[in-house]
Amino acid sequence: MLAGIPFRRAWNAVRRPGAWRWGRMALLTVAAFVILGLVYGLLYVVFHYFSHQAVIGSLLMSRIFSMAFMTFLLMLVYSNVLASLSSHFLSHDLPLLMALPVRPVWIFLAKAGEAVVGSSWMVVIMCIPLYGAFGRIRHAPLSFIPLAAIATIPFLLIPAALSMAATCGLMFILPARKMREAMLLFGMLAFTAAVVTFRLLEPEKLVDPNNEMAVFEYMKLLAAPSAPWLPSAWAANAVVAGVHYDQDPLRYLVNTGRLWGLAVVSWIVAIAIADRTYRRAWQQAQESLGVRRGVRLASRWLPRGGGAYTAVLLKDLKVFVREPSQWGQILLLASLVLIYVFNLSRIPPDLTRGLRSLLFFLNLGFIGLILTAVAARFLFPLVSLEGKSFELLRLAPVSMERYLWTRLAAGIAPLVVLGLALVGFSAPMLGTDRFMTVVASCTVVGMTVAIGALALGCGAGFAQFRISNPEEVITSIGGFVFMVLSVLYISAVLWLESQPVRVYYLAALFRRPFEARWLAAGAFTLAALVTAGAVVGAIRYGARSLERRELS
Amino acid sequence: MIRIEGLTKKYGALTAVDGLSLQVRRGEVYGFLGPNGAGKTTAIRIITGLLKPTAGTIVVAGHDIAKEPEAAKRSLGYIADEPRPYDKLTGREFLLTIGALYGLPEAKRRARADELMEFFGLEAWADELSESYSHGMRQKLMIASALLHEPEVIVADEPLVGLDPASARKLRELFRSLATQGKTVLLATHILEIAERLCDRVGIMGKGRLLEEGSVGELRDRLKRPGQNLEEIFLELTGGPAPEQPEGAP
Repeated sequence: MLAGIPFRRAWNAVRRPGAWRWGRMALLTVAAFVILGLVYGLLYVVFHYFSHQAVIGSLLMSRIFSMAFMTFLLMLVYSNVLASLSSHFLSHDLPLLMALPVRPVWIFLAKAGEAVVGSSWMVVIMCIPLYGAFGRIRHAPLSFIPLAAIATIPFLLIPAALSMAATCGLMFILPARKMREAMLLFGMLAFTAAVVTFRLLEPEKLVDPNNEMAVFEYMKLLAAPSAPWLPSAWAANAVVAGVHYDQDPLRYLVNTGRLWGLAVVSWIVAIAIADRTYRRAWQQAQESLGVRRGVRLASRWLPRGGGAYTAVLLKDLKVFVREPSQWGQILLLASLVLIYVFNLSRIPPDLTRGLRSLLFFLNLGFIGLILTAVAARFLFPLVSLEGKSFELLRLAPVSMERYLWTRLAAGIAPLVVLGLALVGFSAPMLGTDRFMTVVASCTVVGMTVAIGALALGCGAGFAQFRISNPEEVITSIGGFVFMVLSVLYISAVLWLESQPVRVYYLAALFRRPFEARWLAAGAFTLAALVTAGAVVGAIRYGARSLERRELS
Repeated sequence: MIRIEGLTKKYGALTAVDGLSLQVRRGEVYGFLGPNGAGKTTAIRIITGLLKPTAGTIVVAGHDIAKEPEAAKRSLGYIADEPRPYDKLTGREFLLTIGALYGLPEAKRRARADELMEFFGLEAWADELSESYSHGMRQKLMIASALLHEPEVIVADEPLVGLDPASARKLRELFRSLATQGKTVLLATHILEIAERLCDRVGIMGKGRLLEEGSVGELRDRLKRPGQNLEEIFLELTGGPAPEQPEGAP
């Protein structure tokens, strides 16, 4: 009965009518299929390449599997701890459930079902293209599908049980909310480190036919732990053996048996721990935290006073400082810049000056996309993150348009610094002249203001005050609209500027004087007008939407 | 101080508020009563500008909420039925932020914040994050924020929910004292004893309409129910069950 509650809630949510809702679901489904198709295609290419490598081909494929399962295992442990914190300790229905005449262990199990589904679905989805590509390359029979599923299910259940049992224990050391924040920060750090490390390893060398030795060096460098005693190794072995079960049934059976055995033991241990500790751990999690160091620091460092609009900005800054999960985003941004600079440094030095100049101009589009990604993460959700407290702003005698202009002024400052830093890095690396550097700098400043305004305007127009997770806000229809508008804007500006820039490059190439001054003036004026239109239009649209918004 | 004329709010086929007209005078505490779903909260949220009316006009302290929203909001303090302060701000920071939003000078907003926190017994918690407050403390913080800019009109939707008896009494006395000072209080409540004792006049709503309006004495006279209390009048008007339950009822 208890376990059925989340499923009934999910079903009711699906049944709820609404064109937007269905539209959003359809869009997300299409996007998911496209991404899955791309991942499948990429894996197919990699497996296809490996399958044609004599001797080491199957070894490399097995290695890929063990690396993938090791990654999945880490993901599962991490997401299960987070899901368990949310479901077992922070969920709003827990006070009601704990008051019921039910043994807490049953509530633990009911919530565990919710947490397992919530934390494992992504791994399950990632397994589909992995198994699909591998099965197709190895001409697997249809029996591979159930065999792979039988091996994968306990692989999902083991980290779930152990993480949940560990979370129960950790509740006695750290309060739930603090631990969740710490885990989110840790996760962001780990993800950033993984992204940077992966890029610095230059994986493109893996499929370079002129660089066969690099494959070995690459595998060595990765130094993926084989760890035969971990369930990830058993799952990898079972799935690889399951592709042709009849060739080596013992390998499949032994590894699947180990997985199911450990899964059963893990759940018995988890249930025993939960039976003894869950109620006390939950009670512990309810205790308030008291004032924290970060609170005092934020109060001391930030300026005081100011008017209504300054007060909103100061409030945002304080909330940002006090939300450790947000800090990790800055590291992720830093990693983006690092990868960008690294990519630039890998541009072959023997390119002609003309090609380098062309690359520099195209690079503006890339910078625009980076700015879009950053604005999507930081500016787009700003209004939604006001949450239900947004009504305090609507109650106050403040103009929504001025409120958005103030937020834009404060929000684009770091974006301008980022954009100019990217131009500053790329100009000397690509050997660009002063004129193009000035054009690029002005373009980036204009693009930053427009992209920032589009993010804020769309964020206000499609504000979702019931969602507290910024990632969820970004993946909404509004986030999609913002991305599309931003790409259209970047394309329009770059197309306008490309006209005089092309003439300028040709003149430089043939050592002729640049004479298309009127063309340049017209194109840059039009680009400035498009930018101004995007900025004013987006902010006004956002402000009107906020004023018209019904807050029930 | 509050004038509502022909206020209607429709959600598709459902009419939540149907042609509501009423006036709340300066120095008056007006009780807005009605069963669940009568349209009280919808009407109140339209008065505060959080919802748009389908038809009708609302004038707060001489300012039409549709034409001069900022001036009307400056004169208004709203206490919502659900306390929603910013979780990651301390109680004091929250009040200072709200004070700034209403344009109070720095010194005044600090003085008012301290004064109100002391009045509601929150001074020991002033520098704690409001996410660690109990429901009652959050409610007191929201009440303090609504009174911070000394509004001419106070609109309160179930302000006593979650308050301990001492705080509830203090708030009742505060509303009475504000009315004596010439402020206007529009109070939606389900606690009829409080409405009877505190309000100068009451308006009873049912199915989106104003069924009756006046002082409790006037209602008794008009309905020819001498000796009835407000609860009995309310139940008769709104079609609720008889106040006395039969024996053996659960």
